[in-house]
Amino acid sequence: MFRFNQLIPPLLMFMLLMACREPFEPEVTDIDFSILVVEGHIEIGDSETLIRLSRTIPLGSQDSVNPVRAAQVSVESISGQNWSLVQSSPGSYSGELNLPENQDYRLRISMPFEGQVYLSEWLEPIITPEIEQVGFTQQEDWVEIFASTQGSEENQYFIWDYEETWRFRPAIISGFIYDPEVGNVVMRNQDQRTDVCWLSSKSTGILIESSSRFSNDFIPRKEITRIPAQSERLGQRYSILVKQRAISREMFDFWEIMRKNSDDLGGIFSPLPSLVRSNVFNENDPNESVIGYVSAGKSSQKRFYISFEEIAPWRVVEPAYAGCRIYNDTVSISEVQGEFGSGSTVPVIGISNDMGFMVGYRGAPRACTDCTLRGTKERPEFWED
Amino acid sequence: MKKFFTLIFIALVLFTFSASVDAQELAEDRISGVFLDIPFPRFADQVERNSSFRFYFDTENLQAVRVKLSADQNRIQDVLDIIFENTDWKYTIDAQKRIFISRDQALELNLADDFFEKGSSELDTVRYESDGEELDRFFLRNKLWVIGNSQKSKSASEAVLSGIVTGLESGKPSSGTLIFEKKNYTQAIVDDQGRYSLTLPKGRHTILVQSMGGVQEQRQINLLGDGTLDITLEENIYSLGEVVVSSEKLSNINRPEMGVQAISMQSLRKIPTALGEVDVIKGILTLPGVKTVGEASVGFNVRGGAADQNLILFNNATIYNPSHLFGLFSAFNSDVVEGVELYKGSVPVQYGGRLSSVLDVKPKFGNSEKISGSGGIGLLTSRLMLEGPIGENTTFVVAGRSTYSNWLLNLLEDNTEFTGGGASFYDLNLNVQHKIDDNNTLRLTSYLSSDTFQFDPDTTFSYSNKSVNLAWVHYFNDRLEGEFVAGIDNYQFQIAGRDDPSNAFDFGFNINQQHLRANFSYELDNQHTFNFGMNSIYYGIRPGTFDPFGENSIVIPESVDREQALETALYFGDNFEVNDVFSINYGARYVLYNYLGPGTVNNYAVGQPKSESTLVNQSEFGRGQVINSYHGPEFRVSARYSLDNFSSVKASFNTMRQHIHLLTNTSAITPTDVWKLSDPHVRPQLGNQFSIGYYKNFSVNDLETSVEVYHRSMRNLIDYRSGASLFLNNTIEQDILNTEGRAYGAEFLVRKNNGKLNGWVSYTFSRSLWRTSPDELGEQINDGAYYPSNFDQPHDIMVVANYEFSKRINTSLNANYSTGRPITLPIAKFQYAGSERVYFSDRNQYRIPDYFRIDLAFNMEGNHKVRKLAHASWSFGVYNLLGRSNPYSVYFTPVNGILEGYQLSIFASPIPFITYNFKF
Repeated sequence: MFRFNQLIPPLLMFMLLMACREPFEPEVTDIDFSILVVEGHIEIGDSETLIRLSRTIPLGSQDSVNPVRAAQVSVESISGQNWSLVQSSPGSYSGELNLPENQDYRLRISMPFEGQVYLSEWLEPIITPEIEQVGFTQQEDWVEIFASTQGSEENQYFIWDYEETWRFRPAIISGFIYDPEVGNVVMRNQDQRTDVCWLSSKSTGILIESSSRFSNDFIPRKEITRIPAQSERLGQRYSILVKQRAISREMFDFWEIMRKNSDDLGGIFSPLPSLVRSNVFNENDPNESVIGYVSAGKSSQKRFYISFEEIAPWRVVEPAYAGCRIYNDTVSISEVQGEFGSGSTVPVIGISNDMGFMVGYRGAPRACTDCTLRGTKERPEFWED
Repeated sequence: MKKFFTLIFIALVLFTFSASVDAQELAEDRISGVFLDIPFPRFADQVERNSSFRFYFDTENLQAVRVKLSADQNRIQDVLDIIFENTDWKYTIDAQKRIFISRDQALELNLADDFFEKGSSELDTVRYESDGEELDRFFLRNKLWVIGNSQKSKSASEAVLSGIVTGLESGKPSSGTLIFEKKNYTQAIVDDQGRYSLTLPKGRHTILVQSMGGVQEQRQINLLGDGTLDITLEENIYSLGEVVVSSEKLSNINRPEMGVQAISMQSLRKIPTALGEVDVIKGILTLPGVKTVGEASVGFNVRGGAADQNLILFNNATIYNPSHLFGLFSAFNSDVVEGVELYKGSVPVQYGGRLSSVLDVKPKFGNSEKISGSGGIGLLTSRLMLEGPIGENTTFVVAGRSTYSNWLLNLLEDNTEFTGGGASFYDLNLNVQHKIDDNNTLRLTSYLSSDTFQFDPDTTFSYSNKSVNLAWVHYFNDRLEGEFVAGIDNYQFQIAGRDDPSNAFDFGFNINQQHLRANFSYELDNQHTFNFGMNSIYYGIRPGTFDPFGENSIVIPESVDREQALETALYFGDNFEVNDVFSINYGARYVLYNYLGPGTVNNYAVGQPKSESTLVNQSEFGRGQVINSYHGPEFRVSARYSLDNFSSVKASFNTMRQHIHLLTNTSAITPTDVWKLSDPHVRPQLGNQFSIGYYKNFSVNDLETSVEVYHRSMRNLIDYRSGASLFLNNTIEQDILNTEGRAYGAEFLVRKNNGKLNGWVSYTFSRSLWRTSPDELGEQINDGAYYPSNFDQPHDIMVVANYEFSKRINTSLNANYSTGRPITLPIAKFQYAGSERVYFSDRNQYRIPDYFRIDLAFNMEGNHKVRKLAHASWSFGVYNLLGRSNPYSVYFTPVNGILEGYQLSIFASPIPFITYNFKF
């Protein structure tokens, strides 16, 4: 959605030519308000329903999250059925519930220790239309991933999130490994290879759009993410799973406020922070503050790949590999244990004499050769080459 | 300099006592007579009558000297020798037969033989010659001019001195110059042809000539009979202190209105501003009770009111956006501004339509003497103004101002992320005044300001103010004066987005108002002055249009329905001076507001919060149909009671109504905020204010002090539902929360108007509190409790000090402290949607750090040579001398997933500036 506030940061930049930004640490509060935070979506059909429960923590706290571990979370239907969710990791309650789509649901959260019960409003499941298209455009300084979708009178509000996965190689590829059993450097076998890995990351922003401002409710090329030039993500092969959910107007408002409260608080023309509403209430004390808006419905998703050939030339400059190079010194065979034994240096190139005999190796830091330090060697299940 | 004075001394000595006494020359004047123990003054008197000797002495001291002698054709020297024998009195006689009596030592009339050799050896010969003219002047000043012939005189005791006074350089008659005699102040004024005439007793006089420009000349004359003395005056060279004839001096005590602040352009020019530009808005911010939420913001807040509650008038034209570059400069070119008045307490009855204040910016209409101009060159802007007469009865002012910030931005681009952007603005003024005859004057005021700002190559933002109005001032008779004004004001902004052909758009907002005013003032008698009339404003607002641009754009055109309304007010006021000590100014306005069709009004279920789901139906109204009306009276009363000549107490009560509202949910007014008219859902803002004040002047009105206390209450203010989007919102009533407010405070002011050190110190205590109206069905902000408004800054201290080192150099210092403005702070954090998010406190429960700033400026006038192209002056200084980073705003933002708090300061370091101003 077009927003004036998008225009404001550059304006500020102009003023900031003279302005200055300094850290600000108010003594506001080390008070622990411990407000319940409910995040999640009740999924209709065979996808996973995931509800995260946590409590707010003081701003000054070093922790980033305070999960609620001892809760009982379940989904109730208006017809009286009940499905329990299982805590899969601290604060995350999940389950594949296979809920039928033709009735309203609500979330029930019981806190046995506090003796409190929280209930969401009754939610009418919204069936999300399929994503029309996921694609990309290449600009000078970035590659933009976009999604297009067809909304309708009933489904005008959308939210997206995504998960990116990409294959990458380390700065230096090592074909050798020090084998402590043999006490010498040997060729790596398939299992010992550290030159192809995958990394994943999930979206962190709030991507919402209303189709009502486009003709025929068609949302064209909604920007999902931007991959900056030189990013490692597009160095080999990249995949993105875009998930789309149609949401209610209230839910849209909630996200809009949430987004404004965190994205737009940049400066003088920013809107005043608004109250974040919730559709979850304490059964005994409806005035208790709760953060979060639960939705119900069937989401849709689409996976999309980009290979480096499609955007070549694409030069990768990965900060994690800055300064990586192969050491000049040749480590003679007699020295390999001392040099490579600890594993912090890895043999990379074999040096042979005129006769063709291997006389030593040149090494490189492991951080430059071992991709498993940053990613995983496990090829993701969905991955298509 | 020292040599110069030496020269003066020489001149004085040389020409006053040009020759010493020569005994031979005195031969014919002999003294005869019998003096029987009379005081010396009587003796002198008798001698003077019978001879041509003239005595110069201290009458009082010489009363004690008795004269007891008999003389028969004795030489005066012998007589005096006898008289002063055995006393310590000495005498000296010069060639003009003047006798100087002095104590202990005779006046030395003879110069030392080597005097001139010595003198000239110390003097710069070249200088001596070049200053020959100066020398002449001193000669002229001190030479004794013998005028007339006693034989030809008609009257025995009096004679008429006449002549012509002209300018030395121009040769033009120096009309208006005052000529007076030093002792008895017999005076005359030089007429248009330069002539004057004075009737004086015969004898010696010192004639002083005082021109309008402050030049003073003198002539020593011995008036024997009627005669002429022509005098040439240098123009404006040895300027005395500027003579400000002020009828306003006691105005703070005497006028019945209170809470009125006027700033002359003279004071405005001395106030240091951020970029060296003389700034009307920044100037009024130095007054008590006037605040801003921060630097570089468009609006200002008066006595706890919102920024849209100020009526900004530029000679009857309403200026909706009084700023350039988003508030860095005000939109008024200082060269065409005559003066500024801010009404924050009692608002005169002819003004209305806003709740807080009226800022009346008075423009110039040109001088009638000659074509002249002024201008300035600064770091970011340049300006030029030309004024003068066209023909006998018409004068004009034309002025323009523009920026070259684009150039500056380009320079900076290399070092910043700010690329492809640009900012430019200009403003133009044309004012013409035509005097049809003594009773009729026409005034045309026109104004255009325009700003364009490009953030990146693809998005252009622009806004403009346009105003034109014609006023006819008619004097019906000595008592009744009428002014009739018709005009159009327009404010608009556009945003052009060209980022992506499929998304290209144009957004536009436009407000157009046509106004008619008739204002009469009638002086019934010495006690009553009536002020009455009507004004009528037709508003037409296009609240927003969002259109696709180009063939490929698939943006749906969207627009918010146009709004129109007619606001008409009739008013009557009386300034009643009951007696010397008590006067009262009372009046009322009756305002009728009609919201007009065409339009669609949404009807909601009664007793339900307005929302999509409670929308019942819509009513359609045709063109010109009255959709709904609001009307009601406004009262204006203020009274003054003088305690004595130097102190008074005043009280006032005001009610105000406002039918046009600025929709903004940011702390500062942004240029993209739109105005909204009152409609069936958005009721007019109502406010009233009580104030009471005590005023006292000290040391002959040089020091003014005042205390004013006020309380305001306001209804139907606008606040917004959480998450309201004000952009292209056709159902804004669903997002508005009816809010009420109250504000109260006390303002203390000490002001010194004259002297080398002048300026003012003020302290303001003020609160501004809002709460959601209890009958509001939607959200209740902070659970319906009072919360500080965005511009609630309880303490504010302002020091404006100006020190004149000399007529040419002055320095001014500004210091400002104020409490930080309220802010809603995050108080807890949590994880949501993959990022750390913040939970906010109740509305405005915290404050940003306090504000403190010192600015320093030097103003330097150029030299005063008459023959040069232009009179120049320099202003330079430093804004924010201490380089203190005064937070404008505080915000929290996730940086690499961790929430960090930042404070943003606009001018965080000392900002030097320099401006060159010229007049021609």
